[in-house]
Amino acid sequence: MKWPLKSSPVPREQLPLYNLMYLHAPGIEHADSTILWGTEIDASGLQSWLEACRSTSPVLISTSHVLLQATAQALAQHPDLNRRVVGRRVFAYRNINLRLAFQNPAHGGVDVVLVQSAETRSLQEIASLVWRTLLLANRGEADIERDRRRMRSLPAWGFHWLMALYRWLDRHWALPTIGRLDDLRCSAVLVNDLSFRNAPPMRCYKPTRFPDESISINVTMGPIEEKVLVRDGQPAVGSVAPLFVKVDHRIVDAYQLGRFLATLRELLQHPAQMDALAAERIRATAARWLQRPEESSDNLVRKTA
Amino acid sequence: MNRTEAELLGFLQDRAGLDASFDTGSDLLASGVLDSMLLIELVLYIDRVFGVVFTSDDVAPANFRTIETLAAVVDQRLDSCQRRVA
Repeated sequence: MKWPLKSSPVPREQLPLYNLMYLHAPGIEHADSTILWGTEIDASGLQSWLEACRSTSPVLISTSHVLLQATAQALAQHPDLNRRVVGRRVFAYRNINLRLAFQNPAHGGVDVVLVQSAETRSLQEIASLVWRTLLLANRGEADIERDRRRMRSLPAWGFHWLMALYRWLDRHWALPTIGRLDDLRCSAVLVNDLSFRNAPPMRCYKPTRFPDESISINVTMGPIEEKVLVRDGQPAVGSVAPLFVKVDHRIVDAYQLGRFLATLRELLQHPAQMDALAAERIRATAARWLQRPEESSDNLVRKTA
Repeated sequence: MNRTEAELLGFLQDRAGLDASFDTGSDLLASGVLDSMLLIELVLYIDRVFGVVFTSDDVAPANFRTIETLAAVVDQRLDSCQRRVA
């Protein structure tokens, strides 16, 4: 059992008035708290970095892995986004955990990889974890597959009531996660890499809202395409990729979203700096744990066991 | 072109709709032919057709650079299996 959220909510005084208005709105049907911001990145640096990684890394690195690392590093710089709503309160997550959605040809549906403490992982670590999960999932060998099969074997009425009970509990209490499927609730972010081969150019993308409220941020990158850009005041052909971030106004406002998106964009355009940032965060976390051992993950596991 | 290369080229032509200029020496990674989904399908295909199981450690750029490099890895694994059986 894990407790993904901090034990007390973010103090009400720290929440801006407009966020509180959305938080106390009569229901999500009446007030749409979604903010979606789309931008473009100059993908030339990303492409060069991927090509360089292919010559040096023992693991194949893809845009999904870089997107995961960039999102984690951007969240580490903007921790106010790593939160979720429970009832009328806002809770911060203890760790920066990310979910990556991927298409599983084995069953034709979407699966999710959970990357825990992603801000302390190198690009190679992230890539290895994702490939391992993808292979296990596609071979039907992942432990989580058994839980999925159990869920699917429930009769329609059983599934409906189980989901209704789960959603009700999830919306009213900051619960621990139990079991492998439920572990996905440890993360505020869903990362989507839709730059697959033959994907059409992306001009707009609106991600869905998951039935539970654990996902507060959705980061989506579309396919890279050639476009005319202005570089040094001159028109030039360059590689461009669309990037969309969706957040919840009950947690952050458009200014905070814009700053987060600017950081994410900068990291994706200059990905070479991210492994150094991850190493720095490992050192900082270790130093913090040495000073305050009660904050360490091990201690947390001992407390909850 | 040996049998393994022909099988892999056939699979990729079928799945990715490669044009006639694409051959066993063409770069699968730089050309963008091999995205994550197709790579996983390719690994599962190798597992099914040749009985060679790739782990995440095998998902290395050196192995998947061209059809020739990939076929060489598959043939090497098959050879070492046959030697162990003999």
